[in-house]
Amino acid sequence: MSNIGEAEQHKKKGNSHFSNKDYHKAITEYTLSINKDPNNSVYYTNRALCYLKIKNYVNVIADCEMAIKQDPTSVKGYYMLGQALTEQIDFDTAIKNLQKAYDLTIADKGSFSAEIVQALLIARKKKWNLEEKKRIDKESELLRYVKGLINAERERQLQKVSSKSNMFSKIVNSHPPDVQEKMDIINQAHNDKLSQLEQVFGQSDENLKPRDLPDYFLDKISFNIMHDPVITPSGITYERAHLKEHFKKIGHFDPLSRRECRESDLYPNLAIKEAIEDFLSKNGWAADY
Amino acid sequence: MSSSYFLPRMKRELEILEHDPPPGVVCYPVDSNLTRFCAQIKGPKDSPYEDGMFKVDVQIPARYPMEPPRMQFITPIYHPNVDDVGRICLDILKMPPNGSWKPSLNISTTLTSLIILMADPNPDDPLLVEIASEFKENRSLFLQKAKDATLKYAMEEKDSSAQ
Repeated sequence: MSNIGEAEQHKKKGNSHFSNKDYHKAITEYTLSINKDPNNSVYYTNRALCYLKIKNYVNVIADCEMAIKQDPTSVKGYYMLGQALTEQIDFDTAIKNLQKAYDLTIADKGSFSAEIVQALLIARKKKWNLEEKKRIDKESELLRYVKGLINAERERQLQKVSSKSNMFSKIVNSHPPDVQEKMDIINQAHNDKLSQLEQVFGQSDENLKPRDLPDYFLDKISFNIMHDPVITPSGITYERAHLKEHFKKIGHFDPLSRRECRESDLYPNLAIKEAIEDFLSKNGWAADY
Repeated sequence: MSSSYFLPRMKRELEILEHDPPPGVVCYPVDSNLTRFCAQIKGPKDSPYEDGMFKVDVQIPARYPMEPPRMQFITPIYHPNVDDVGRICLDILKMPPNGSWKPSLNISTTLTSLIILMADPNPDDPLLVEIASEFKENRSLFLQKAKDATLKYAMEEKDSSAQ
């Protein structure tokens, strides 16, 4: 039997292990396929999917990179690479690869664009969460620092008052009557400063702002924020992937106006896409919520 | 198999029902795959259903939101647009061209329409003709019967919680 034939045999065995959810055995078979025929991208993406299932993301990345090397149009390669990179907290590269997968599947009329959109939104949301956490950590560090300065100043002033009163009591042998009063005033002034400071920092916290997501950014089918908005002849805007699925499963009409509509009638709605990008750059939580 | 947009969509709907439900409505899922909900609707003020608590069974079809949710009263209600097994005659619960369901509507907005229908029956498109003509010709008798039915069927929960 030729090497290619043997490789296909192993792949078949691998596939049946995979459908039985026996991912380790499937990996062994796909590895044999790769040994026999190292130039077929499918063996790499199949094995990558197994690694994805058992959460071995380092190997997912390695296999996807091999698959893309063999076939630079491998949608699955970019898609799983993006998912694994998201898990590895490398969000920028993840988003780049998922976008590549999306572009390829749209150009190729591929079928799982909706899943890719979902993975993209998740990656964007996670990226934003991480940046947000960093920002908050930085801010609380600054808050701690400024609080320290205020308390040091309070100590300095209290010290001054008490040393003055000590000198006074050495001379006249009694405490000046107003020293406690002076200390109270100093304490009060600094407590006020601290609470004002916390108020100011609290106001700047994005998390306290109401999270309003305008309805016009949402796809009318999934109620999720749109990633690739397209406009129909009725003037209604949808997420491309969901509208395509509607055409395929239900029929060729606009789901809201119910006027006839085909994929070739759709135009990208670039204005709303720009508006969404702008909104997301300030409200990243909205990417997937 | 349901569509790829079903789950993200239902996630959003749950959020709306949890954080911004229609006034006087509690609606929660009764199964884990979000295909069945239970809604409890407080009878609208200044209607014969006032003070009653009406349970509505909400079923989400596999083709949702391309098809409307199916809603049916569990609590008996005396109303020209609801029949004796709880089926509801409401245009947005039906597909075009006979109805006016749209995928941009949702469970929350549909429940709001249902409350409006309770407060303001539509006797020109009745499900039960006798109740509709009673509503039109002998309003006081209709109101009395509807109130009696509310007292009889829709007050149980209140009684038990008061004890």
